[in-house]
Amino acid sequence: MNAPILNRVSRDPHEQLRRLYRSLLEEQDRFDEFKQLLSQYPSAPEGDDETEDAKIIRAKLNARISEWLHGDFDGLSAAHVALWKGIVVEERINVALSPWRESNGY
Amino acid sequence: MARRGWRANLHKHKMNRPVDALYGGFVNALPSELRGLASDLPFRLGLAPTSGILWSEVFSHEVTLEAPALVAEAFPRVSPEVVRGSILGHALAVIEAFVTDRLLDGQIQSSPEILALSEYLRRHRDIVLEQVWPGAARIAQRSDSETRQAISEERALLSELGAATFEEYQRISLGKQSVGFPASFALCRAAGATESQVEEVRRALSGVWLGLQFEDDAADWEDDWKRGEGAWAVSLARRRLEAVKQQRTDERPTEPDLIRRRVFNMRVLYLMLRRARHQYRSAWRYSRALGAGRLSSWSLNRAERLTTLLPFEERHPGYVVRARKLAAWAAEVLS
Repeated sequence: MNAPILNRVSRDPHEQLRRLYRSLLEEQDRFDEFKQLLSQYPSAPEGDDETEDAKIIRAKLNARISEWLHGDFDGLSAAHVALWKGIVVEERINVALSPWRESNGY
Repeated sequence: MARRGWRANLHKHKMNRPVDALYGGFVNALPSELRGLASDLPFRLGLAPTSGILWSEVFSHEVTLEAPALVAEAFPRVSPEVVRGSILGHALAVIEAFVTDRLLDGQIQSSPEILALSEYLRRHRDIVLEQVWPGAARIAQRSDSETRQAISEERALLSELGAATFEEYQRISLGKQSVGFPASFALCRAAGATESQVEEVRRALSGVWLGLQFEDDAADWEDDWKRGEGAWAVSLARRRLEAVKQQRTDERPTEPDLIRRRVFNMRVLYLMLRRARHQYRSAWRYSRALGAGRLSSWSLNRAERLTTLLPFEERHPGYVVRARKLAAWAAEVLS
């Protein structure tokens, strides 16, 4: 009875990302693999097409995420993977958002 | 111990809290050749990703640099001059401690300018605190020594990958936070606080500083470890494992590594977070008894946040580390 509703929810891209986020938080191995695959993704100059090598890495990443989420994953675009690599691997952030620290941890 | 990389939060606007104006006044009174360095100190110390970041933007809350303002709520008759003086004295003490720490561990290069600025920070702190309450400068100087001594003790222990008990961890951590008390004590004295009120302030602030320290040391232990400075989580895990003598002291495993598994298996991060929550609860109790409303609700909020987080850390060891590493990503794609 509930299957169609669940299926509809899982096709929501935002919900898929939330599930990926939770999945990464809960499993160190997944987190490491996610980061490793992102780090392998070659950065292309802006405006350039995705290279064949990059496509292979992205396909591998999408396949792994799909496995983690039991198939309910539409896949990441090249732009998404590049953006995430910047944030997660290279720790680049949008500096328009305030940086913060939690404590005076000398 | 923890010195973090950059993360984003949702504060998108400049905050302009009292510390910015007060620090600006300090900068303007400096010799002209030091003003540029002093203005850009958050960036120079690696506490901000770009130039032009205000001190109020560096931390996600006002407690770290403006604790006396929160303590002052318990003493409504204290004059605004005393509150401003104690905020500035506190902020300068904390900022100077960052300078000293970065110099000691080589994160910033020593230069005549940075050494001179450090001296000005201390000297001006002493002047403003002495105006708040005569004798406060001497207490602040003593706290400098205590902080430095605790930092040295920590470095000696962690760099040798020594095993540590939670009691040692708490004692050294509290020593490191010594500079976080004198300005608030000066405010208390100026406000005519009783001995029991001063003691409540001491306990409330101890809870705040230790809670923050424990939380950061848990979330950032891998970064500390990778820098080669050792990490409390590792030393605490070794103690719990009772296998220290079998470890090579120059061990620097790669991921997935033995050290991480030991930290996870020993539930050290969970225990550190539980201790942080205990400290926040203590801060909440004492600040509530004092009548320091904002400090009390901030502490309660921190404790409740950890109450939510703890079951996840218990079920999924390392959750707190991964949550911090993914925080910027989550803010970007999930908000």
